Amino acid sequence: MILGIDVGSTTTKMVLMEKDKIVWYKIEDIGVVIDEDILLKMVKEVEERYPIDKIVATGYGRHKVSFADKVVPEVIALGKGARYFFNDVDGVVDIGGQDTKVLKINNEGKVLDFILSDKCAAGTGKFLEKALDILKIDKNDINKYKSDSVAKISSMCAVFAESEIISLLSKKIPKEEILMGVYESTINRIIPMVNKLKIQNIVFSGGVAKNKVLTEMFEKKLNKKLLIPEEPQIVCCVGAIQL
Amino acid sequence: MVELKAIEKLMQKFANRKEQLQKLKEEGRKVFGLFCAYVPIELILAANATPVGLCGGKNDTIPVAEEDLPRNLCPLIKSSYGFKKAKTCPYFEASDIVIGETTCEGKKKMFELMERMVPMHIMHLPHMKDEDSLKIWIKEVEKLKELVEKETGNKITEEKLKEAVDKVNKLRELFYKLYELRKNKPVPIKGLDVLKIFQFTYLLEIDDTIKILEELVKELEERVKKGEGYEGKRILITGCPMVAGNNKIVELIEEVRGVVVGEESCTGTRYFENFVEGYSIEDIAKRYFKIPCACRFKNDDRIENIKRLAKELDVDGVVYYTLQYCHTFNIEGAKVEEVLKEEGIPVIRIETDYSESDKEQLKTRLEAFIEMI
Ligand code: SF4
Ligand code: SF4
Repeated sequence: MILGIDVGSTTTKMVLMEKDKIVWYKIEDIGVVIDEDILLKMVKEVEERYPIDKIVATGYGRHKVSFADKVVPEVIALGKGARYFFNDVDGVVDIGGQDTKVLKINNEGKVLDFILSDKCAAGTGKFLEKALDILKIDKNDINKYKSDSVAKISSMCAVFAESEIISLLSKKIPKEEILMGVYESTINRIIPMVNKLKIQNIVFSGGVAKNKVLTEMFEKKLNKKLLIPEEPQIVCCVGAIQL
Repeated sequence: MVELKAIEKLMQKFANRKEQLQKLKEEGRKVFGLFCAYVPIELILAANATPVGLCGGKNDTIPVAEEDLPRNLCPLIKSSYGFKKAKTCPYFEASDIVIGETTCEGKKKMFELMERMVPMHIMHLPHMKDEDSLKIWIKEVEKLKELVEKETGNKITEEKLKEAVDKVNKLRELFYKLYELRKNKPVPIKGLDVLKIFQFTYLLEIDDTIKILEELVKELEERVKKGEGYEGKRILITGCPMVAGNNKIVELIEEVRGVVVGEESCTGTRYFENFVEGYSIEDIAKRYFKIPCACRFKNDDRIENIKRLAKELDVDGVVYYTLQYCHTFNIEGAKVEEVLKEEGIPVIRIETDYSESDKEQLKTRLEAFIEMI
């Protein structure tokens, strides 16, 4: 069996696969700051239950996994993973903690082109998290906040957007409207990337894909359905194993 | 692979350069500081003076520069200004006069502030490429000649000028040879070494550089004969200059199993392409006028050049490199990207500054790009 370890910027994912079947997986709320000792301990726990033949590492912190048999860049893994979960796909949008990735892939999941969001945090998971912090909304409750009116957040920059949110709050605009505005500004950052790569059948992966309200808004703006795996956070890890 | 002897020599020359300059100055030699590949060094050499490049490639001097300059400005401009302000660049301190030019907005306006710290002469580089503009440029080169003569007290005779033209053409010829050798597979020299050569060419005495390049060419011919060299995805870099101190991108590319085989840049082809054909001021002006910098309007020859280089050097992909806030190269990137895609040549656009903070992110992108192509 092959164990995949995806050390992302905010979470670490582990997936165990036998041939093409996912046997087990786990998502830890600790990212690139994770110690190698903890990683080794996690691997040991898996080893006690399953035979591991090979370890593959990917993700922003992949080089931390010094004991891996193979290390693959996450962009390449992501393409492969998207193809594992769906047939007939030609693109991927992955909103991660650190950056947003948009990929164009071929029928085998090979990456043909990609765009990563730049240094700026706008349009990434980090930005959404920060907004939730300011709005004092619990991560687990996000799907409860929804509204038809959307507050306007005009700033393209995460830092300025923050002060905009605070000023909206002081104007007594309801939280859910502000949150919708945050979603909108995030999506508006990503749509040009999608358009640039001209992708049609898109897999939506990463933690943010679990956000139903955002996904719905994203689909509406793209005017198409997005393909979301049951567990969108393990796509990259599965892809690394498949490579 | 063992270090090239010529590169070792280059580093040595560089290490001793400060003293060498000092000595030359004591003997009465004038030093001209330059900021751009457009300044015809032939005129400076013909007056028995030394040109040195002053473009800053280090992050350290940016904070002092930001006392006067805006934060959202090209790091090359800020770094250069900071070096003068902090007086930490030996080349700057050795310069008797600094030649600026009207290339991009940022540099041009920075010069207005820099002028208060050091004597400057600004050349008017017209942004258009038509005949009228060429006329202006020829006048500017004539004016430079007068200035150089006045500053040095030396007359630029026809003979002297001919000698200088031949010498710089010789240097260009050697760079052409280097590029020929890089067409080989495996490529006999890594990109980081070539980058250093370009960076130091701006700083060293031209006679020294020529000698080193001659040795280098011989060494590389040996390597090619033996089939020695560097394997990896062959990459062409195009965009902003990477001046001394700024090796980040080339280092990263070569860390993730790419090898840089060409650079369309002012630390690259824009420095040496096209010979001066003839010995008059007009002939010299014409060669420099052709440099395809993104500061110029309708710079389509640059795009043609990139296409040609990508084919000649048989590259697997192109890294389009811009410094943050360098609008000219950044905007021109859209056209270049379009054309390369039409040709089926993979391209990735990278925008960065002199800080180390984005290294991991850049590595991720470059690694994925190199894996993809
Ligand atoms: S990029 Fe343009 S402005 Fe900068 S040194 Fe080169 S020619 Fe001059
Ligand atoms: S890199 Fe761009 S912005 Fe910076 S000095 Fe050169 S042309 Fe100007």
